[in-house]
Amino acid sequence: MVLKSHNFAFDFSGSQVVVTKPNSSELGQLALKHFADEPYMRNFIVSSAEVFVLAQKQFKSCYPDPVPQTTITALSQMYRGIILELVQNLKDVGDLETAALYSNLDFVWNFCEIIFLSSNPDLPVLPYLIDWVRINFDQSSKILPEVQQELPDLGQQCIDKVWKLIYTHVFHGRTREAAKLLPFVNPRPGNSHSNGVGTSASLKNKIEFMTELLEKKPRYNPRTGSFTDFESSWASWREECVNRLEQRVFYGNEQLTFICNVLCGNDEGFSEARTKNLLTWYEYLVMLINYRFPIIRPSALKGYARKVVSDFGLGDSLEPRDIILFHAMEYDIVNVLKEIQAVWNNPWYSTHFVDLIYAGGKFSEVTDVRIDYSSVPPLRTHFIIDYGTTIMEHKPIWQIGVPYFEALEEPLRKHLIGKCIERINPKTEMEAQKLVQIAGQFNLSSELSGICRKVAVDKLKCGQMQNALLWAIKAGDSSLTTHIVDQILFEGDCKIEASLLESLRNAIPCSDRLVFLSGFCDFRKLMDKKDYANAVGKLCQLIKEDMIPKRINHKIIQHLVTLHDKNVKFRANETTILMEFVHLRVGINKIEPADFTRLNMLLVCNRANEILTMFNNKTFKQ
Amino acid sequence: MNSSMMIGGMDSSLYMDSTTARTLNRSRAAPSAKPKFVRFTNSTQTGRNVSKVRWLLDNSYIGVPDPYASEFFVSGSWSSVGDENDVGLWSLEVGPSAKEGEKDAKVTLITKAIVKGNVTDMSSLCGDRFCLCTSDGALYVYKCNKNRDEKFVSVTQAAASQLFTYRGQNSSATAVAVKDDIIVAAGEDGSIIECNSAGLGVIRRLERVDPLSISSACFVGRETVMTGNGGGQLKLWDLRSDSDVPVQILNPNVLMNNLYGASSICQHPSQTHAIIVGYQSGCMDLWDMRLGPDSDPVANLTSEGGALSEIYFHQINSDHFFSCAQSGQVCHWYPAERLSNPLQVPVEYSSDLNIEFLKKGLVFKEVHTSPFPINSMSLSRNDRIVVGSDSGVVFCTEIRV
Repeated sequence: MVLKSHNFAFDFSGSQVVVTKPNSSELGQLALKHFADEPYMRNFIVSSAEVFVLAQKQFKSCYPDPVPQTTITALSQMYRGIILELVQNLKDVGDLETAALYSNLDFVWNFCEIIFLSSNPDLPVLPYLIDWVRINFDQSSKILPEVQQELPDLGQQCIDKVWKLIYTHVFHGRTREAAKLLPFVNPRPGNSHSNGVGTSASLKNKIEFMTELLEKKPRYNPRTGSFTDFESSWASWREECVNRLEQRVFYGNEQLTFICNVLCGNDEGFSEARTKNLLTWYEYLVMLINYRFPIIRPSALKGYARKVVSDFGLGDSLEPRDIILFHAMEYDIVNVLKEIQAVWNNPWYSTHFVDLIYAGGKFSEVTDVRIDYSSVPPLRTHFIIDYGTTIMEHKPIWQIGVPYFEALEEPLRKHLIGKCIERINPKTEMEAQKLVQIAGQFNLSSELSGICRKVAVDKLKCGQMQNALLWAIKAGDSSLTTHIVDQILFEGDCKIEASLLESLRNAIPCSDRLVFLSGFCDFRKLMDKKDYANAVGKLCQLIKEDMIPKRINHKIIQHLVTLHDKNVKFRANETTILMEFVHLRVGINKIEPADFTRLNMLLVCNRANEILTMFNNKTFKQ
Repeated sequence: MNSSMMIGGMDSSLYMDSTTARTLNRSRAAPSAKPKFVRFTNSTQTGRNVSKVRWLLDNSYIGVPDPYASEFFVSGSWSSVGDENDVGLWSLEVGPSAKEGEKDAKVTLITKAIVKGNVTDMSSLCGDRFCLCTSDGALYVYKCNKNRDEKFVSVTQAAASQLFTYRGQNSSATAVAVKDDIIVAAGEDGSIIECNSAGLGVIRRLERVDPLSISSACFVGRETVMTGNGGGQLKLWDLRSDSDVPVQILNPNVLMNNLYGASSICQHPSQTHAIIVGYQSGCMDLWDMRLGPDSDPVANLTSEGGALSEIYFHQINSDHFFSCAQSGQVCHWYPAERLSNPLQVPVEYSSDLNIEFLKKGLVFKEVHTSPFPINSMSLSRNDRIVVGSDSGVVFCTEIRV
């Protein structure tokens, strides 16, 4: 099944779709051959469903309050973990293009997480952005091992690499990490690359000054830190940086002067940064905020981002993912989802992300940001239906779709689960049982009885009448039950396992025929045990209750006839009931003459016996 | 009134319904105070809905569970596109972790084979073999082959037989039970067929002897098999007998199990007359077969989860048993450390079943939970559990009893 939109994507059935998306260089051409049955793809679907279930549990336990922000962020990070696992798995199977696509999804998700889920609209957004660029643009894991290998004597090439890394850390605002690397670029005495002891000593001092500045840069902790404290300590730190620069402390060392320029937020430093190792506008934006506007709120991001983009000359050629980021900065959730849907064409992101916003309920109370929270619940419903149906339509994983529909409101929940399980055709009892379980769980009585009825009919076709009866009773279908009981009575020689009947007794209100079958089986059981007196009692009870279908009369007669030489003594009234039954209900002409003679003899003997007993009793009393 | 009635009967049961539920809740609230045991866990996605998992029989087992032993298990799938399913041979390797006191576990797929139809049941045989039956009514024996280095490399089909057909149409096989070299397969059509494992030659065929479909089977003696059917009845068959009639029929407690099938049967390892049965209703009944055909269960236990998929006694510490359910729970059931509620003392209890939890009450802990149905589990002699679910995940962990 291919999803609605024509441009490409999440194709569970396995056909390959190649699509070129205009204006997208990076996300460009995609060859998607994701089978949901590939273990890594299945893992992606299952793991996210598990997190989704967890999110619903949290939502339920917190209701009517929103889920705490920390929990929401943790859930969001779990989803991102799943994306990254998929990216790794895709890389392992050599599908680098798709891996890049999903790695981009993580980048976008991460940013949207900051804007919509983790950051507080009233507090600085900077700490989150520092994390965001670190996760996506940090090169330490690549460079550090190389440096480690060359220790203790670093070659010039290696020192250049360390400088690059230091710059990146500074640009990203991670000055403490930069400070830790500074000792590596301090040539030790005797090092062949140094220019002499004097230079080295003065460099050492400069590095110490720089290390101090870098280490002192105030950090803001959005959970515990006070905003005003941060503001004042940042101002004094910046003043110190400016003083150092004015005191020409780093004079003579190009790299340290450059870093100090950046720390001071000077235009000179920033424009030089673009020629260094700074590659993307995202990093530039974060640098700008780090050293010039560290206290801006998330809602102010957009203005700075616009400026950076135009400085970079990207104004007209934004990539799809940049457009999404801009929508996010505007808190325009509808457009974010729309664009993401267009690029990834997979309701996966939208479903899970909107669900988190819904669970967090964060924006319902925020008035100064332009998010239309009223659009969130319907969007959530829409995407859950979209994603849930996509999953449910893929036969092997239909059960994974159930928790998604479960998260919807009634009556939609029942309706959708009902519709989806209706479309599954169980071939074996095991498959039917799974459907019955789900139908039972959601009180889908008509679907439940539909499934059971289908199995009952199948069993009937296979000649398994008693099994069919069991399923008909499960279906609660009295007409089908009667039909099957009739078949058992009239065609199947009334054979039903006495023990099976035990289990069926509870369902007796279901059908009159079953009541009769139950009574008739008891009668036969007693006959088999040669407990004739009780057997006749049972039979009379059935006659009295008018339970016996006409078609079965001759069978009853057959049984009665066998009693003729058994010397059975009927109890009071029983002879009358049986006589009425033989004469009025069955009719003498419908009984074989030989049988009738024997039956008549049995009844007349018993009647005579009764009269005699009565007479004796009276005589005795007199 | 016989002794079982006192325990298993509806009114006097001390293990039924609400009492049990209370016991269970309590066990959750205050978990047992045993020293912390760090177990390994491993979840591996197979890509298919796993219907059965079974450990291969371990010939090298020497009696003491080895926490670092490598073990092998087989998995079977169901409901795949195109009706072709996988049979996988997996290895579990456990080693010490970088973190002190912890273990690392790695599950690797060694090889897989394709089988037509859904795998409905599996059982391990001696000699690195296993048998499985399918929804197409076929029974297969597979052999796991080793290379020169004594490492498993492939799985080959050693024997195949189409056992269950009706009017030219295949009818689903549902259960296999194994005793030494004898395999008994049961089907949805109510047939029971005994074969030898070497060539799957039919020894005895009980054609459509159960009017309901058979859902589980278990050897309870050398030549006797207990089957459970879709109506929850248990029937004991003597394979030596010429008669097509069961030796004994045990009817379920109608009030609790009405119209629910018996999904799994397990025999007590030492008291072989005791069997525990898991039902689709979520109930578990403990039966004493000596009490005769019209007896009631010795204990009627309820679990909170939905339909039970499989149930197993621990082979050494047989007061402990394990269950997995369609609701996604895998539970470890064990006797309460001490009687938490004096009302629970089964005063009139006089069954001579020497089962600890009958005297002390029963508590459980969850070994694993999943939002998706768990279809199968298997216990190894090294105290590992492997679990297979409809999410496609096989989950391995270690248990302590």
